[in-house]
Amino acid sequence: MSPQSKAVVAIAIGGLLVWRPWKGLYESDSETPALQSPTGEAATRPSPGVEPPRAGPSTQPAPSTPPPATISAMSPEDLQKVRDAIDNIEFAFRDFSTAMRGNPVGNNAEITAALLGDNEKQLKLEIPGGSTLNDKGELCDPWGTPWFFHQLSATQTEVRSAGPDRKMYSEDDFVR
Amino acid sequence: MSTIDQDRAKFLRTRRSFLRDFGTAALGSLAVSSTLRDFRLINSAVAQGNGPFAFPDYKALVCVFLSGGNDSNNLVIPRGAAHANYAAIRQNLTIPESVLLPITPEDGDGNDYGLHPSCGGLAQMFEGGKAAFLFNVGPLLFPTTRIQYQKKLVALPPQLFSHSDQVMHWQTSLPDQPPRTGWGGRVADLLHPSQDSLINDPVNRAKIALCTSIAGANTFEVGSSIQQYHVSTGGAVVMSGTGGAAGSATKNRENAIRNIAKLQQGNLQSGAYGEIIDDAIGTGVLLNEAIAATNTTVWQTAFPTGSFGDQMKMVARIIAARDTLKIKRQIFFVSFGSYDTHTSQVGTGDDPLTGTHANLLGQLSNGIAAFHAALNQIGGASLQNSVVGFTASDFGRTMPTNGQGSDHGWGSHHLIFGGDGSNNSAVRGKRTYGTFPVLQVNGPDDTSTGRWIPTTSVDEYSATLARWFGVDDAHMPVVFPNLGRFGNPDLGFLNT
Repeated sequence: MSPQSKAVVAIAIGGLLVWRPWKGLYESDSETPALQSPTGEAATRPSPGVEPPRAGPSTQPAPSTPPPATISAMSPEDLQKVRDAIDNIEFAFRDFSTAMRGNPVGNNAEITAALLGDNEKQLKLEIPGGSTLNDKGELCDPWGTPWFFHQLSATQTEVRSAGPDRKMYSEDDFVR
Repeated sequence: MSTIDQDRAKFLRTRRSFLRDFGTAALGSLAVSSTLRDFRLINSAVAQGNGPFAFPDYKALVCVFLSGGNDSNNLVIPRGAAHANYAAIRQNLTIPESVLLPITPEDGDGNDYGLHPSCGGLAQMFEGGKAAFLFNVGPLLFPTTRIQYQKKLVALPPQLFSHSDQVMHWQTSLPDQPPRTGWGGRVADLLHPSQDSLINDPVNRAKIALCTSIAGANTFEVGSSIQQYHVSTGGAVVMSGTGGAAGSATKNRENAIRNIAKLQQGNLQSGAYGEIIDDAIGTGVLLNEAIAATNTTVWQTAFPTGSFGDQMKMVARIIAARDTLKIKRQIFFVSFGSYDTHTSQVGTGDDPLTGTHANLLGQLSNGIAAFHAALNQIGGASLQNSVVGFTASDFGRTMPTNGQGSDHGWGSHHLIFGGDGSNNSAVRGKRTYGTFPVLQVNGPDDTSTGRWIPTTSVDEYSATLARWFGVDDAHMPVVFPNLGRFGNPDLGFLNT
């Protein structure tokens, strides 16, 4: 094969890899665009839940979002710890939402119970890595404080950790 | 997976997805077409039955949506012995009994209540018989008790406690269906033909749509056939350099643009597009000219500064122009946000008289009081009896404090206002309706953490408003398909 031919083949292969015409053939119909957290931080995975159709552009609530968390108050190790834990919660929510067509709802204990099997289909998930269970049946962050779940929609739940100081809505909170 | 398997999977997926999609589409089309058919039948029936004089009177409904979920636990507060119980649960969110504005409901439930101290205007309206409260109302699929909730014995509205879902449930009154239309829009679908039956009379036909929003697009006013008309707090947004007196340069420019838009087009789509442009310019200019008379009005009771006051003022100004606009029925949508008070609900040092919620309630009270006074200034008691306003919100909030505020709840108390306070007042005021929840965590009205299970459904609340507005019993199931599941299609807070 001449060098010119090789170059043409290489360009063609490169083009195919970028174009990926096979993408979408076997993907789930319910895939939705990546989550955008209310704090503006893009979630790393797409939400598998199906947002119900809207009757039209609607006036959505304008929640007075709690003060933005400043992550500078957290050490890099703590930051990684809480990020990993929320990653795992999001995995759990994704799996739950796929089966139940929406995230679990309620307070922390109710959401935890739903994840652990108290749901319509008796779907049982494991306690997400990085979280622990307290004696009230609440899912707790790496420092033992119950996570705060702020339900924005069927597929969007803001997760807040009180951070190392274990005080909610303080400077070292972490929110996604 | 091998290539062969992939091909087979692709084939199976295609066949399955075709069957699934076909089935879904067929069912969906059937549902939509049957809904459209119902409304067309109703439209023609109403138009033929009532004719151009179906509405000899004027009526308006004003939906005040408190976005974010209002903490109504601190709007209507028990006095007397029950206050200690309230305070024990609310802790730093407690409004001291000494600062409450007492209200004295007639035919009450035997309990004493007071309003948040920021709500002087509302307290005055309530005591004057011009306002009423409906206790513990929220979206339901069926009447639900605590036992049923806990044992999952009854279907619940999906995604309880999430903002956007509860907004949809409130505005559609159809929690168990995809949100295609709002209940205000369905009412408009039903009633608009009655006021637009002079459609061929360019002078007397209604000039704007029945539904008007001052807060942008919303689900509440989405109908199957009637579109909502959007107006800003400064009036209709129109092309600059149009309007004005006949013969003026701006009017000539407007006429020129509209004439160009109306030019006969060979292409039907271009023709329709031109008509829409012509209509949009014409309607906007007409509305602004109609409300110009109140542009410099000095309101006897000043509207509060800010978005909510501005929105309520615009509603009053459009109502003042009702005769010019040739409209007999209007539904307005106003939205007022930041009620999601997880934090900063009370002021510095836990001062309950300041902070976000006190500020919001103050604006709400002053805005509604100013609006009610403006109606009197525009059209006296007669007009006051023709306009009913009501509040709605995502949900109530948890009774226990979270330390800095309150979290998402479910049932909440709501305000209905309007009328002159006489025996014939639109709102049968100075009364409370529904059942006040037992303020007890894990009590009979609690899901588990101080979130009240509604004892009145949004359907009952909305249907009572719609009945006053002109929806008759025969058509009530079309507008509120789930109403039959509940015991009170008319809660009695309006004189119909």
